[in-house]
Amino acid sequence: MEKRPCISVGQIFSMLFVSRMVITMTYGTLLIGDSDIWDHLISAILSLSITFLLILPIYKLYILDTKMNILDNLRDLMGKLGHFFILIYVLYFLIITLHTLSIFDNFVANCINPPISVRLLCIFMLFSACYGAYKGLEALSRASSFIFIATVLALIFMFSSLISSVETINFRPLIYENYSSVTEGILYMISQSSCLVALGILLPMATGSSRKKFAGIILWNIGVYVSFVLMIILITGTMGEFVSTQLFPVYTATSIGKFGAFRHLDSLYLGIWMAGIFLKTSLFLLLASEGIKKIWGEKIRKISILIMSILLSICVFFINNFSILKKNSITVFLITFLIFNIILIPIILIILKNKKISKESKIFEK
Amino acid sequence: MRNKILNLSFIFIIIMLFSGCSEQHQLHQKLIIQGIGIDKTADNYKVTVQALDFQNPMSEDEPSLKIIEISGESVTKALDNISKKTSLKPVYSQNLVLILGEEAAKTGVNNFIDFFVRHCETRPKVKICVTKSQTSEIFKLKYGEKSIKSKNIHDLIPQKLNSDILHFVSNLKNSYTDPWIAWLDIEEKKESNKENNKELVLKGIGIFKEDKLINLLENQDAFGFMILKNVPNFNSCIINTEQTGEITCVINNSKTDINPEINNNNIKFCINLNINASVFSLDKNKNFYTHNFEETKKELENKLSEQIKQICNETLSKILKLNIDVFEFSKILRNSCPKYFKLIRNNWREHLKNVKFEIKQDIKITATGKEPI
Repeated sequence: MEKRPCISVGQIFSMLFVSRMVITMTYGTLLIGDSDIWDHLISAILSLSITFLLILPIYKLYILDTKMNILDNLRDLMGKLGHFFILIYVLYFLIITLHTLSIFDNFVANCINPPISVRLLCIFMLFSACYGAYKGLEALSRASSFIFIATVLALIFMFSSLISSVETINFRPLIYENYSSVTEGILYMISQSSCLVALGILLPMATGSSRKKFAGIILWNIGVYVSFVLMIILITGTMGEFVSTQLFPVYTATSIGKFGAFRHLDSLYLGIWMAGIFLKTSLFLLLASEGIKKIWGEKIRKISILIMSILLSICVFFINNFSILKKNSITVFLITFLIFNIILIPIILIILKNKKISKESKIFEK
Repeated sequence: MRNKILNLSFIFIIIMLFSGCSEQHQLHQKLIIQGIGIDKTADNYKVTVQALDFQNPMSEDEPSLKIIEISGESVTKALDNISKKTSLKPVYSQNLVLILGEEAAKTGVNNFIDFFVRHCETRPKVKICVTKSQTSEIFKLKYGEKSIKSKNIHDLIPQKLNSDILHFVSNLKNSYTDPWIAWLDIEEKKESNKENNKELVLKGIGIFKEDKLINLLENQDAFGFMILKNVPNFNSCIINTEQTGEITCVINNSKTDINPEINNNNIKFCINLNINASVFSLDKNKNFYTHNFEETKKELENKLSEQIKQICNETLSKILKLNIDVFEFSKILRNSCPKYFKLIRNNWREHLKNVKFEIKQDIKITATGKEPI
């Protein structure tokens, strides 16, 4: 019997919340181009509903067998072909890790401009994440509890410090120009929902009832998009057209906010954000290694974490052109990959699972 | 055993990599910039920087102030020359104020503002102002025995005026609005000794058309601007009534609410001013708290109201004649009548000339404290 990690529902969703928020914090011109941030308010509300729809196949698959995740189902129901699909999931997790690292790389280069090589910093981050992934899910979830609390406190502090600087004159009518920004916003937000794939693997690993997990999904999603909406309101309200000059407006907003004697707390937010990046890369490396484990076993899993980290650190050297991040092709690629992983594969698995269940029940009846 | 050796070698590698702060700049090797001034010369930009000097501190706890003058073909080039001139690493994150010389502002800020928007160390809340004097003169100004600090200059610019990089660039980036900044200048003190007879004062407002300074408002015009921008305590009004004699009214608080009205393609802005003012300098021969106190107060309020209305009317007319939108009328119209604004926005500047406005004011006077001595 395979040893399962023992983590709570709260720990899973705190991990996923932090992983989602680290990308939300980098929301800005780098990733959305010239798209109008204010119109993304509607995108956020629509994306929330779309995300709930996207979760349904994963949740349905989970309900059919609460002990098996997507990777288990792929191995169990598809045999050798399942191994191929597991590798696709591994590839997805690695691509997302690389995407996160390239955002980190760009952020550090633009906002911190450290005296050491950005690439080197990125590699250090990657190897720390490698260590995190090596330690396993339980260790990561324990770390996530602290990072989650720090992230939530930072968000609350950021919101309360910016609220007094909001100028309502900056709130122009929604969809004033055309619908393109709304569409771009939805595509961007959904494309960054890689945590949904992670959810498909992590959900059966948590202890707790299905009801509790369902409540967790709802709260997590609402939490993510409410934070998004508040962030949009605050950065538009405080910065107006200045937003368009900033690659990372959320970070810029942290340097504007003041709360009593506290101001210029951007470096504090930076520390929390870096911890979040560590958590996300560790988690996704771990999930990729989970895929490897399903095919080749535990021993290879541990070695694979190191190999994947080395591969990713080589890739980091090839990230030269950051403008590629805001290209439509990247967004479309990420969405297609996401839909494949959370809609197409789970639906096929549900069909196969139902067939298997009915077959088994017929045998049982006989 | 093997694991122990591995762990120890790993720790050794970490120790070798984390070699403390050997490559870092110490505080005395850094130039902590507090204020930057930009002047335009015939073919160059002259940049004056006020920074904290940790190499020659005034005392154990207080660093002295260093003023560095550099020039270059562009502001960025000039700022780059700081390291060459001082061998110190400039740090911009502590910068408090950016002072533009009149010529530099008139030439256009697009030539250099980008540095203050996109450099990773600069902050959007840095205050910005314009001056007719040389910016180096301002930084060299003495306050008693000591040089003026950038913090003093920063504090001279009212917070509510929004004269900072954030608002300046925001209005610059908007195609329909124009930016404004505080105007500070050196004035001679009326009564002082001969040595330090100059002081820095908030003279008024510099208004821009797109990125170029086109006018400097002072006295009543600047006062009107400040009232409309809700900046209190800039100036005061003197009112004379029979009961009270000459009274000085200081504006403590003002709140402006602007609403557009469109009739037959004519745009009118209704400006509602809610002002709280305090009265001072009550004539000791007259009693303000007479048996008709409410009546006297009413009369004062009416007179102040008329005066403020006149001041604001003149300011608005003067600014609108320049065909610029520093009061963000375009944003107000866009938010209130989005469809109409969409139709006219391409010719907004033309419409701005014909914009009508009506000022309604609700002024409340308070007379705190005692009766006249």
